[in-house]
Amino acid sequence: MGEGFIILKGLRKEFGELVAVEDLELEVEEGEFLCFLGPSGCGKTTTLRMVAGLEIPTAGDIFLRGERINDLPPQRRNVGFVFQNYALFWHMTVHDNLAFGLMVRRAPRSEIEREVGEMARWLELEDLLETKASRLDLSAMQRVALGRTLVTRPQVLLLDEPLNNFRPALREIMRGELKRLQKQLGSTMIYVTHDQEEAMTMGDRILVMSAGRKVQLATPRELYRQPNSLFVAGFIGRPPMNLLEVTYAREGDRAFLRKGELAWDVTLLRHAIEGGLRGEKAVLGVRPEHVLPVEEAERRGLKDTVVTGKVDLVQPLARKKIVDLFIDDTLIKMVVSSDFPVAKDDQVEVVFHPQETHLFDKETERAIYNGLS
Amino acid sequence: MAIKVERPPVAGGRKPLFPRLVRALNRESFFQNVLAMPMQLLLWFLLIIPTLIVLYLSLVAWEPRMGVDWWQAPFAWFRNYGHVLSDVRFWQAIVRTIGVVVVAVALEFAIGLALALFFQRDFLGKRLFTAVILYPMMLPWVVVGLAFYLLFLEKGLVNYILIHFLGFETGVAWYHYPAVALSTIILADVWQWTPFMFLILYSGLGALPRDPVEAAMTLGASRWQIFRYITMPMLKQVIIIALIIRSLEAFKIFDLVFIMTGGGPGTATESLSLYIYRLGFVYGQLSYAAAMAVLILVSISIIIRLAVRPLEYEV
Repeated sequence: MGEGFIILKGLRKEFGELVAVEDLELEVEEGEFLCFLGPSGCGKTTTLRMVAGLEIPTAGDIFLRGERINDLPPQRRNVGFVFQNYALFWHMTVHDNLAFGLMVRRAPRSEIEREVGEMARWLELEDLLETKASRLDLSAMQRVALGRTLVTRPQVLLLDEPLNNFRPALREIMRGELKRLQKQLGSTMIYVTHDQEEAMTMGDRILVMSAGRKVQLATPRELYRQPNSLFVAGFIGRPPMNLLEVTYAREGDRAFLRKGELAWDVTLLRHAIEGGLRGEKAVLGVRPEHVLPVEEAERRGLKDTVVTGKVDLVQPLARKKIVDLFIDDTLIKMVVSSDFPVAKDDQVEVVFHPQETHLFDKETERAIYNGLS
Repeated sequence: MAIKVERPPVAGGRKPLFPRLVRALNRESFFQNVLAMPMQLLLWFLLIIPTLIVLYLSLVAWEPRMGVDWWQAPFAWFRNYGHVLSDVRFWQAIVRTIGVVVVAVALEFAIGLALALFFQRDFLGKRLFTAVILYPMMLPWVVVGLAFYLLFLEKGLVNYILIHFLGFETGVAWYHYPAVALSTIILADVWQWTPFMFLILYSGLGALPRDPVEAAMTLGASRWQIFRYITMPMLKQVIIIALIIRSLEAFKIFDLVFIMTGGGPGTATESLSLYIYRLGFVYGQLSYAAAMAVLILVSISIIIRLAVRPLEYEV
């Protein structure tokens, strides 16, 4: 796709002492659906507002179609913004809300009526056109907020947690609607959310942010399989990845990760580990679905250290169970199929899928390897 | 709980001697009434009883010089009202007062709004300026009236400036021309009460949600369009309230006129309040003045009712 459609270069925003966004580098492709994902207060909304022109960056540049737009007021950026709480014009009717963008551009009346009518039909707002915005229900507010922005055909559509106020069932429907809409329009979208499921299902790529910094920019699959840091590993996936503090030790030609009595042979990975690990403290990560009962591991021919844990809690789901195990005093979650016989206080022997473990440096929190071997 | 009158008798308890009294005292509402009593008394003695007396006075023909007490005066029923309605000086005072209200309040609103909008952004010394702007509002009417009276005297500061700095040959006799005299009164009122408009509009603007404005910006609206279509409509309720309060106050204008022009030249700047005051306490026609006061009270009540209407249908 070549040149980025939107480019952020060394973007930085400070509010007094607080650094909200720190030296952010980003390229967004044309027609891409990009998600900003991170806990609240990580700077994702601030970044979005800078792209829209609602915040002025403390430093750095923003390019849109190769043109530097730092000094362009929001009015002249042609960037649509859908606000978290919709920010409708509450004193106006749905019709006037939808028409606003065209009206202020002095579009001819016939065109306004045509576009508004079309948008209302498409968003199923026709019966509500004369209703005041403040009297709508949440789903209609959402649709008005979206429609009001889309009517002006923005080059870029920025959405700030637009599904936050929906109940889960409606969320899922709207998620699909938005994704379909984006493909249909072929528009470039940046979508801010703190809900990893939302980001994983909708985004072509996801930018994970933490404390104002970019942590990882990757496709959903990459984020899941190759988290580049402890933060991403712990943030993506549900239930979250199990993280065990281990110590790396060489013993002659062989190398081990040790945790108390337990030891994993990592001789084959020692070059990778020694290349990445600063000290000897590391964190071993394994996803709950990769904690295998020993029988299953044997059946699949996967051999590794057998770990014994005591079952603390079993949470049955439809086709799976989440089992909480205590290994010594460390809590591990595993996901097994629902016909796996297990009850509280059972002793269970498990194996960590040898090709699906992750290792992180305890100090720098960077990934050392992701499921190779 | 509070309103419940009938209580089942307590099992095994003795029947009270005065069941109705005990029940009345037990009611929470009784206690509430006791607490509200001082305010009630104040209200009755300061507002309701005097109003009733004025109402009564307006229906009789009583003047202090008649030598009888007011409750002994003969009834005139609505004759006083008839006289008021055919009183040219009354109608002139009404038109004049409304004129002053419209011009003064319009100016106060325009200047107050401009200041309030200007003060939305930060600039050096904003707090200091805010304090200075609010200062005139804290002065008593009399002080403002006196200050402006002195300013526009024949040998006042304004004429001094005109003559010594702007090259006028003689000063202007400000209080000799009806329109000019009225303007000085309006000017004093604007000076004193623009801060009030500023204060209300400023806090109203500050309390508006920021989101719709930002949304309008991303939709391409210019600053003027945002002001016209977003800010003003959202501020509408605050504006109506500010206009009502200020207009009511201005309609009662008395002190400034009394001090600055005394209603003169002739009766050319006489406000309604001043006329009523004169009728009652200078000319001694108390019943007539009372009828006029009642008429105005009733008409203002109706006007306010209409003015508040748009507020009730909002939201």
